[in-house]
Amino acid sequence: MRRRWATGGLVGLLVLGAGFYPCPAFAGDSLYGKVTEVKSAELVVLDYGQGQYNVRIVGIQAPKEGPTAERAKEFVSKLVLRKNARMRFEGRNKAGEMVGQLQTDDPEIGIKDVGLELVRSGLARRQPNYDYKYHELSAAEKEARGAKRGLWAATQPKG
Amino acid sequence: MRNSTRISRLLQTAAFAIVLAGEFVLGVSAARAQVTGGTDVNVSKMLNYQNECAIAKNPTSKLQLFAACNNSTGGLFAARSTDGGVTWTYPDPSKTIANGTAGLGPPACCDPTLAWDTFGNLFITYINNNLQNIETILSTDGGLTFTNLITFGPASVDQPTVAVGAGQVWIVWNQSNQMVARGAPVTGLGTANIGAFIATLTIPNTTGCSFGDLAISPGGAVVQACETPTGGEGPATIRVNTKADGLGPNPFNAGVAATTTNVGGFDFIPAQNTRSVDAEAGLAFDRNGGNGRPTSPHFGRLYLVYTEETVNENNDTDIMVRFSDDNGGTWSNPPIRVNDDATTRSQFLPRIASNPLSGNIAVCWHDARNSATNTAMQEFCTIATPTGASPAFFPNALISDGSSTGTGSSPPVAGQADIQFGDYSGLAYFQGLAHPIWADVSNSTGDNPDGTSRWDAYTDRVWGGPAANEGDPHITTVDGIHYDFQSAGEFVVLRDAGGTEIQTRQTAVPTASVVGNAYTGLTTCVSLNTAVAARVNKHRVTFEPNLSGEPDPSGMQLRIDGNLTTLPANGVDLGASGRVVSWAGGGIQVDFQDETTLIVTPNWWPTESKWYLNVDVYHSAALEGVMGARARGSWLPALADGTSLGPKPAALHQRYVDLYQKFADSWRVTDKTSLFDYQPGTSTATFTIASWPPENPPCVLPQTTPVKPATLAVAQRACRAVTGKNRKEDCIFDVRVTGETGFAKTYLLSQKIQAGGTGVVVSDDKDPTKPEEPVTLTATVTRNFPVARRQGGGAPTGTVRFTLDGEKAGDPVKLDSKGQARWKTARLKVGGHKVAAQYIPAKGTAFLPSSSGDESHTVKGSD
Repeated sequence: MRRRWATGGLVGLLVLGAGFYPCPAFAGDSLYGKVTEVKSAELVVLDYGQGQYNVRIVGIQAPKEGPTAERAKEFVSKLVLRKNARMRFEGRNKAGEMVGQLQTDDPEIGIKDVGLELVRSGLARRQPNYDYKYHELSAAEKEARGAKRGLWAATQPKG
Repeated sequence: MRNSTRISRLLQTAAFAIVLAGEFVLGVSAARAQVTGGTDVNVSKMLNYQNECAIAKNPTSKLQLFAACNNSTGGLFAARSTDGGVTWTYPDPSKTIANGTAGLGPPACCDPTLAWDTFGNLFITYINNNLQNIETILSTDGGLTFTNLITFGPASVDQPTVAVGAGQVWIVWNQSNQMVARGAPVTGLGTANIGAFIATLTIPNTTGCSFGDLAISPGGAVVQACETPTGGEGPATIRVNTKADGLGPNPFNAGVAATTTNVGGFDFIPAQNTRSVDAEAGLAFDRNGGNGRPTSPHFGRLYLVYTEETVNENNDTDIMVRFSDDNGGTWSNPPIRVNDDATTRSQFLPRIASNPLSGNIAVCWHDARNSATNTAMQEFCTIATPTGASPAFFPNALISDGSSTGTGSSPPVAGQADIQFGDYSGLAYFQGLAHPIWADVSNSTGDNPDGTSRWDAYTDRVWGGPAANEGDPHITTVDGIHYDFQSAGEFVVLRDAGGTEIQTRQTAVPTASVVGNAYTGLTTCVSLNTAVAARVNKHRVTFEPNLSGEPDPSGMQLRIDGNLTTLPANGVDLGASGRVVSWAGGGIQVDFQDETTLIVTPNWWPTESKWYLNVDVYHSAALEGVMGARARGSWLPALADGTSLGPKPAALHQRYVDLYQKFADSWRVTDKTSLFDYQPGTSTATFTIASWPPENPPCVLPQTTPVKPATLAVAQRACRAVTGKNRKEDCIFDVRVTGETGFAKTYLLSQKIQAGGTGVVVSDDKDPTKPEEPVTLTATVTRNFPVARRQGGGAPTGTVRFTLDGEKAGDPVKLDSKGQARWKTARLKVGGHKVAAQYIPAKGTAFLPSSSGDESHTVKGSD
């Protein structure tokens, strides 16, 4: 059975080009707040105290349905739901979502990049032609593949 | 009989005046901004994106600059200049630092911020690659090599800012939604002279506050600004907190709400439609405390720049400034609007900086005023002097050569998120030159390897002028107003609060005719520049006719600090980059420490037995005086007390009163302020005729015979080779009214100097060096008056001859396409050396020769 893959909103459109090697992203102004809802593995609600945004995690593609999608959503929830987090903004997509990196800021979990952890756990793929500045997403995906985690398990579709 | 003769003369004069006025082309030259840029320089010329740039200037060397930007492919883009921003080189062949390579700093994510202290320490602070640390690296050699200084973290961090001053270095940043700060004492160059950073201080009432700035007062108070909330599209508040005791034990105060703004932390405007802008609060202290020079009238004043939106979400964003005279405790109200456009389009991403030598304030920003769709940005700048009670910004100047459309590069190439112009731009302002740096996608320089698809880092050199005081005398102010000023006496024609000052002596010339001036509308008698004086650092330079008062066609007399001086070939060093050198036609060139260049071109009028001068000033940092900039809404430059004369009066009589009484008297020198040398028994009063020019002809003085005019045909023939609308008209008028065709010769010489005048500076790639260690000395030749590339303004061509300790060093070296020549040597002996360069233009070019000042280089012994 073929799985459907999330497109990642505008950033997906932004970053899906042809003929270029994987290039890194910037990180810029950030927004700090509390995650009040995890809508999917890629999309959370970040409340900054005087308002809230739908935040889409940049550079990843998580399954939209099926058990892996549920696992991915649960994974993100454990990391950030009702916890402080920082969204490092890259741009707003046409759906009005704020697209950026999402980092935890939790005394127990520490500071972790949610997108990177999803990819490292095999619960999401790196978007084609997209990477972090030092190719961290590629490295995480390679690690997940090598360990046959999640999407990269034997029964999952390759690459 | 006497009456009839006088009436007859009046009628003749009036008729002549009418003829002249009728011939005058009544198009008043458009007011250019008093600040002008040269040709844009693409600093990065690099694939992919470079934006969010910071720039700093070495306060001990006006030639050294360092820039750092976000780079999309690893590390931070970094570049350094040793010739004042004309050309740029890179500390590493990769054009990056903080890329993980040993010796270049821990790997960076982004958000570089720079500060350069008076010891020579260059601090580079940024967020590391995993967004958990604030890294600071140090360079003590002008951005050539780097040492890791300190790491703050791990923590959830954003937007660091580093600042130096009063023997301190401070860094503020947002950590877990709160502004925090750490500072350290600095007593000298290098890590050994940087003390331990104090423990992290939490800044009160800054939860949910970020995107701000940091400044240290001359007295050592630490002030930070930030915007809250960080989310939303406004309204928001800019908060300011002060730590009055610097590194002392007291905490930051509770802070104040310095201003509200309708620009929120993520405010989407058409020009930045996916990335958004914040209010981008910026701070700058007036740091001109004199130090042997005049002190700024507002020494210690703190300026705050930010972005406002006239109505929330209408995208009509403006650049605003408030100021505080108590280190941020209270703020001026209402704010001062900096941009002077009449549009409802966006101005955004402002930066502010204050020149510590004058107290002048520069503000630069992105401006979409000329974009019908409000999406294309151009870089604009303006300057205000500290003279008035509150800053009055001069007309805005367009600086960038191209326009950049933030949305034009979207969607970007594969894999790269386009953050458009980024969250900030950079600005350094020191010693008269302002250096904005911004992300540009126009490819106006033609050397962006990505064409117009991805951002490169662009900069420009922003200064005042050019200004002129030529002929009888026709003034061109630093903001391009062209008016006649015929008073008789000695006047301050340009000055700044840091001590740069130029004075001229104007001598009445009785004539049988008068001159009409289109700008003033007045028809008056004339005068001539006959002497000039200048203050250069702590020296006084005068260029006057023989003090005895006896006509002396052998030449003008140059005095330095009252001593008659004959200039050697490479001039006389006046300290801190100040210099006086001889110039073509018996003239002089005076280089001031603040980049101002004064060129005086004399000519001898044989029938009247007197010298007259053209006085031309290039890239002046001084903006006040007879050649100074107009305040907004004023028809003439500001008065000496900073006040304005207001709009041009309708009545000619009132214009005469304004110009020749109020304005002229305001800028007359006094015995106390005069820079001139005088024969015993004479003073400035000797040269003053307060009633000149009379409101109405005749133009006569006792015991003198009015000079006879020339015909229009004679004047036109004499001036046929003079180009430029104003200069040609001035030439024709001067020849006609005086009958002296020599004016044309002087104008031609000034024209030649403007077209081909050059300057040369020498820099070394390392200093000091060890015995037998190679050092490369680079001579960079530039035009004195920049000409845009699109106007054919290429770099000078020819050769450079280097000299070492006054002796020729090898054969002349050919200039490359950038106007640079290099001499590499490993044979310098132990000790201090002086290296200079003489520029020899290529034959057949319009360029004029020039010589550099001395560049010091030291070879240290093995011990």
